[in-house]
Amino acid sequence: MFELLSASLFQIFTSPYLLLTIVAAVFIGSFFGLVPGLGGTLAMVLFIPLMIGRDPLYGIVFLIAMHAVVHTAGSIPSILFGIPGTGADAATVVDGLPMTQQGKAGTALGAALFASAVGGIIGGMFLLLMLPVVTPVINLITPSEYFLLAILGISFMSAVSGSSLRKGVAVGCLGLCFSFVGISPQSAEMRFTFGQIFLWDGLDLVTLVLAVFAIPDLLFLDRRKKHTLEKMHTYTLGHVISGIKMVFVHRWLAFRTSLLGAVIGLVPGMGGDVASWMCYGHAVQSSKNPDQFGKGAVEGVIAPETANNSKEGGALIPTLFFGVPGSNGMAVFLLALTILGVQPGPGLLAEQGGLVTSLIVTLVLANLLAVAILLPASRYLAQFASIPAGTVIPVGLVMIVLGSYLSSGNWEYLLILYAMSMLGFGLKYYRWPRAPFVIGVVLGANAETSYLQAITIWDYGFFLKPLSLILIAAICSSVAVYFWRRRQEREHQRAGLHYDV
Amino acid sequence: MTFNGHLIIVCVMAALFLVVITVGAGYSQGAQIAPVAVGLVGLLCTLGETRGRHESSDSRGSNHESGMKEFPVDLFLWLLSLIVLVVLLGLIAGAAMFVAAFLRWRERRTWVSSLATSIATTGFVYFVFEVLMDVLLFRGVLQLY
Repeated sequence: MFELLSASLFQIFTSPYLLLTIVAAVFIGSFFGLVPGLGGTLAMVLFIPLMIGRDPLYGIVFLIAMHAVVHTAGSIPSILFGIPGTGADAATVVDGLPMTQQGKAGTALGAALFASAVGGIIGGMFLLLMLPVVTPVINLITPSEYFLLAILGISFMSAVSGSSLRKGVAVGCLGLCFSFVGISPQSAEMRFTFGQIFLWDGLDLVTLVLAVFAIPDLLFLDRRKKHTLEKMHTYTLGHVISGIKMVFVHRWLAFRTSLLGAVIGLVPGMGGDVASWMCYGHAVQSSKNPDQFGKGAVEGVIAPETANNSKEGGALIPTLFFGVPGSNGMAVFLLALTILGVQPGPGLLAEQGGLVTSLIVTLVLANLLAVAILLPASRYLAQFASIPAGTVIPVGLVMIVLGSYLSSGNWEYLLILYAMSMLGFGLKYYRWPRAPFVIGVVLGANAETSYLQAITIWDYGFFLKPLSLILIAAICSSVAVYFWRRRQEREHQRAGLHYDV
Repeated sequence: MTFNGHLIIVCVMAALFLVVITVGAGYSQGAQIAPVAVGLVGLLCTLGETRGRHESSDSRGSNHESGMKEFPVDLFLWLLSLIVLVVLLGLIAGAAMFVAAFLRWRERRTWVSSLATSIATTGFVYFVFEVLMDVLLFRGVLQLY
């Protein structure tokens, strides 16, 4: 394996054309991340036709490098304007936007970009280390583990519920209810579609996230105009460097969330949204100051950003070796592999090991290049945050409407966007936590489908499988940690403080 | 306003959960378990908040987000106008009219500044999506007739 790796390193670094391909892919991927509403999947769809007839290595290297850096650049509009391009980027908004509003845009950008690089590198290393044991590990993941992993994610609702678990669970349940819209996995009957064809495939996650997070945060800028502008003038390059330092300060959190993100990426169907929200939940849970989350905690930026990028390494494993894509982006990548004449499957490592190791090198290199390009540029990009709120609001609303339409492909979703934005604003205005809503929407369908599959195969005996017991213990610990923290807070007479995200 | 607003959120969420439970109960046995169970848990937690609303109040005795004195009804009307314009006229024309109107009449900008921002925004969207990526943006329902 290491012979293959060194050969790939040599091949990439001695081929100017390959290096230029990666650099071009990084620029294009960054653009697709910077503009809300585009995203990595669209980028791949648009560029696949250009790859037909080319050397498979160049085509695949280009596509994976482009896809790998989309989330890195996507953190920039999330932090500066609170407009996430995808559901995965939404977790960064929760603390990234408050940091910008406090005049810490540079620190947030520095932390986000550097954390992305750390995540990308650890994700690549994870893929490399998993190569020898890939088959038995994937075979361990059955519907019962899918279900319990989803429940583990849902249990993180408690971590992001702030002072009131009741509010967090209520909002989380609302998110779960929204995830039930569409075809029932059990009986194939339409649920909660009310005769509307556009609801048959379920609600569009990006539209819901834009409505619940982006619009309320954008409208809040209106009442914070002066505050925002005054603070923006204090931004310097030093803030970016201090953001990078914060990743070193929270290095163990960055390491843990990178690893967790890669593991979640490994599980097909979980995807980047789950990875970033679960890691955000973990950051809140493991922090000494959970009351700071949602108010501009840098850990709240580091955790989702590392997970966003590290999950790419994990997601490549089922895609490459089992032909099972873990996300929409990986599904398109799988299509690209087939079009370029590469047959994904268990035999890929034996037949085209060089290609696999080249992908790993590209993944790491693209992440490093993205940071090398975006970090110096972030100083100028952060200046966008000083644009008057009066201008940002209408332009931001247009971008949000555009993002919702591009993601869903239906104008009817604009009505859902409007209705949900009022609910989202109400939640923010009256200090109800919003993060559990997204966790519920993201994990609800996964949890229900895998539960029904597990019940059909094992009946309730699946709860007693060894891996199930480990996951159940993790779920219990997650909830127990919440109550333990609450008790500690009361003991320290901090019951009056609370955090809402 | 604060008290009523909190109650409105509770009522809206409770109503949503009641719809989920009522409609969900009408589905076949396999399809109804998850919505009804989740709806019931959500409803109970929501109703519990009517009793515990004072716990959520901050140290200043307010239970709404700082920085916002009142619900921005006007901004939601502007958002509604954007959606109506986009649905009727399409993304490019609707967005252009919205940005110009918002800046001119709400933000009291000059006509030149308003139109320049509007053209820059929609020009960017048109160039990136329609020209560079060949993505056909929504043209509005009026074009269907």
